[in-house]
Amino acid sequence: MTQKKAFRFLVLIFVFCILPYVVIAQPVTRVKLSRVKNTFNLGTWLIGNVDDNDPACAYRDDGIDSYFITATDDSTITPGGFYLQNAAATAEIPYSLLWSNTPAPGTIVLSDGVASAASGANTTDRRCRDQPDPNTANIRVQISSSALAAAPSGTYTATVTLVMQP
Amino acid sequence: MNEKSLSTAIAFLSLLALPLFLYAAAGPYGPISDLTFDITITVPDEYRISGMQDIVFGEYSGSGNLESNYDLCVYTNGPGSYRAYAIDNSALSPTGFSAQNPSATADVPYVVRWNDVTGTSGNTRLNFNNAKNFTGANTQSVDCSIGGNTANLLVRFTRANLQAAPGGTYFTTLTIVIEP
Repeated sequence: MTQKKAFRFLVLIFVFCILPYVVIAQPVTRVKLSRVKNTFNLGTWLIGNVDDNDPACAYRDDGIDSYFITATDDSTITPGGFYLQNAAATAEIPYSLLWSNTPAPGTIVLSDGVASAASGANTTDRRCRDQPDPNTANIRVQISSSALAAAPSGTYTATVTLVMQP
Repeated sequence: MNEKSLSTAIAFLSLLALPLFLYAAAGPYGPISDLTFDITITVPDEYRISGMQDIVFGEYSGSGNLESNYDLCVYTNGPGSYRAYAIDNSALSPTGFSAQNPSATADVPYVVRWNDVTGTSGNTRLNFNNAKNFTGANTQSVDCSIGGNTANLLVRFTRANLQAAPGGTYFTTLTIVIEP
């Protein structure tokens, strides 16, 4: 076997036998978002601003606690913002979503479809069973009284999707 | 398994499933993780009346009726229909509209008419504490800054009642109530 052939053989060995393992061995950071309640049922509005929140757990597996959080909703009347809509999609109420890097209600204002930097993720237990408080974040919903007062009577809903990325 | 055991098993499994209903399904464990939740709120029918004014007739000249009216705003976030009724604080005529003197020894009856459009044409007499149906409330802006006023209130003292009253100052506080 000539030197050239031997070199080609080694290259082939590297490409087909070693490189795949190298690629596969590259660690992929994985995250998990959990513990947000199914529904923010805000009831029947009577007076004042509406402000509700729920703790959540954001987990990241590579020991780094920073991440990005993105929220979108299914409102159709005014794209690009957070809105509750009535069933007929003829009226809407703007609302705000705020994220927190702790289980307490926070002040990181989320914009529709825009990734916001966050931190404080759980890095030890993907099932978020840590005690005394397994939560590491908080999602908050705010609706102003002026927006509610200006809305036609009816029931308004939105489905929010939260996406967590490293 | 007997019926009691089955019930116990179902109850136990229901308790185990309870967290599934309380929490949104957790997002997947991977390069990205996403989950959804719902927000729901109900806005009830609401009403607002604004633009009420004091009416000061001054000294009665001795002839003719005394009458005053003005347009005002009735707003609702509902379909636009409403009921309206009126009461006042007169003690001498607790079931009728009247203005009375400070010593509450004499009163002068008056008439209240309501209109569900601006102006007085087509207005309706309101009986004391007796609601009537109306339509046409402003549904665009709480203070009628968009769409304009939508109602009219008229107060009238008839000549006969004024001439029959003892001399003095007569006063009343009229309350208009708008309801579904």
